[in-house]
Amino acid sequence: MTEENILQGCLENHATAQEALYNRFSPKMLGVCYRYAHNREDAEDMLQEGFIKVFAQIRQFKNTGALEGWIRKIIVHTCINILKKNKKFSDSVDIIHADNIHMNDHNIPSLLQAKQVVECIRILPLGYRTVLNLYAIEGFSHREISEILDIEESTSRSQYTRARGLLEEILIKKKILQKPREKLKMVSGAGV
Amino acid sequence: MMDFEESLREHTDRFTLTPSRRVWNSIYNDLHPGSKWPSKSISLMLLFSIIIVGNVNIGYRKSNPSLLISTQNNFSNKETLQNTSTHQQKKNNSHFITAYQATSHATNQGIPEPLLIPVDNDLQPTPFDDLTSAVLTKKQSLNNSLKGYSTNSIPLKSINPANKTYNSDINNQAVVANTSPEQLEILTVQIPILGIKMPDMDKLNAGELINPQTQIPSAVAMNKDGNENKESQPSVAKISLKKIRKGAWTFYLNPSISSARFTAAPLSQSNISNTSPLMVSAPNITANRQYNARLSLSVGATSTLPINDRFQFTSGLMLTYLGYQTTSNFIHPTFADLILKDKTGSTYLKSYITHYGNGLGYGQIQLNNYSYQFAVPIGLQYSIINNQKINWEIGSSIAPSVVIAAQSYILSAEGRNYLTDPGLGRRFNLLANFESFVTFKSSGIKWQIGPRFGYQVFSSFKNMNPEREHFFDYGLKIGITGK
Repeated sequence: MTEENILQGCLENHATAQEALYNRFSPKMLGVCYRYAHNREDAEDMLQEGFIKVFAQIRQFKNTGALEGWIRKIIVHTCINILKKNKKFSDSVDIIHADNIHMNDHNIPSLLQAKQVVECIRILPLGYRTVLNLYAIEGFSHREISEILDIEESTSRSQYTRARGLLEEILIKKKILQKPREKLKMVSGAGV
Repeated sequence: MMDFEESLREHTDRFTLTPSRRVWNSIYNDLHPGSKWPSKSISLMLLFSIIIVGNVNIGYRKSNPSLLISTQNNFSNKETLQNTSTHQQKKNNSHFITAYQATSHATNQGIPEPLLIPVDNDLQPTPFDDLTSAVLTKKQSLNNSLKGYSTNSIPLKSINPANKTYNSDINNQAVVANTSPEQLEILTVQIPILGIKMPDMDKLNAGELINPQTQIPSAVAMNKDGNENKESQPSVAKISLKKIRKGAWTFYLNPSISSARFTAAPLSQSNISNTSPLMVSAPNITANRQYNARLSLSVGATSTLPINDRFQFTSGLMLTYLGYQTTSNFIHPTFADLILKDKTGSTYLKSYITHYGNGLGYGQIQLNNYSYQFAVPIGLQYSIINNQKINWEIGSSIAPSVVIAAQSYILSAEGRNYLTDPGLGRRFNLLANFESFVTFKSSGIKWQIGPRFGYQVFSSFKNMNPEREHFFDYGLKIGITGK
């Protein structure tokens, strides 16, 4: 089933096409959700709500861009909306509360590299993690992040700087990232 | 972008997880809630059946005269009834009644012969009927019958006019059942006979003929030879007035103009209660929503059941389409927020991607807001004027409804964009209807025409959306009433 057929079927509310779309993109999107969520169950809830929105708003998709990118955008916003319902999230994006991060080696899992990196990101405090996800991975600007998260642009910058520093530290400890820090290049196949 | 971010993105993009089947099942159930319809359909069918059974029971009361006429049955001419072609009469859906020939049909002996009056209603006699009086259904039938015999008349009962008791009564009495749909009442009519001038039956007014309790004149059945059947005893029948209420179905079409009323505006960002203290409050833009009314339509069927002379209970089914148009303009895809309320009353922000702005610039577009609802109206009608030619009634009803399909564009918190979210739509609602109409007959069809106003009681949105949208419509109801 081509992407065009799937899209047409989804526009006509055909369950088969919807399932095909879901099967095609859900693994990757669950990976996205997993980076924002506390655990896998929460990630699946985010995925579910996100895909319901995708199917509800599928008519608004213009064929000008990639379908995956459009779906990903909706999923990310769904994740953020769900996180924002939680009071802890609001506190965590506040720079004052995000200052005292205490890490130790026990927090770093030993997994395959792609998952290792994701798990390392998930070790970060929620506020750090969200800003890092949005800026470094999703490619939002600090201005956009400030609008999405309802924080100051400077707060977003500070959060990201600290998140990045902390993540580097974690990755180096796990030997996923090479020293010296100036190079900041990940070792391919590390941890495999 | 720096190497670190690129490398991070590359690694995270490769990361996938397979979701459990539960996720897709939940999504599927949300997208295709058809599995819930059987239970709803059965509920509606049950309700519909109750209405139908109620009407049928009323009809049964009408069609079974034994339920209507309580008499002391001492007649022995049941055999006559049975031996004659009563069954054939039933097949023909007509029967005949006896009365006395008033003037021209008297016999040579001066004994009035039984006058057979065809009745074309569905008040059919049975062998068990105790028709000690003539039963008529239509004044016109009676009048026509008095002018001449019907050749295929079959006497149900013969009355011996020589009976003293009877002769002493100047006025024969008959029961007239007026079975016109609007005046279904058993009437007791005093019919002057035996030399007494017959009144003009056309001038008979049903309302004037009601006699709640009538002593039926004595009557003696006669055999074929015209001899008195001595087994027959005079009978005094007490006929109590029983009003027969028959329901009627009206099928109607209601073209109308519909629009919406907004009783609460969307919340601005300053209303958010559970976000970060560092949150920047956006300026509260009071944007005006520009929208236009549009044509809408309701179709349905209403069953009316008289409660008394003036009031009628109504119930039925209705399918309605309501809508209006919002003036918008195309914009580049952008994020728009809504401030929603959770169950605890706290507010939170929800972001959407939208293509529609709240402006009047280039690329203007009319956004269609609509709602298809299936409703079960229940209400009352009151007759202001009720006569033979025309009725004027007012009515109101409430109608619990199921929203079959709906789309409403919501103004964003900033007031700059319009967005939709089917998840915010209410599945069940309540419609209120007010109407006034006249009923008249034209070309054999009974019409109902009059203005009608409808209002959606609950907001189209769930309570989590503070904005309140209520559809309303006003139009002309055109209905046809069946028997």
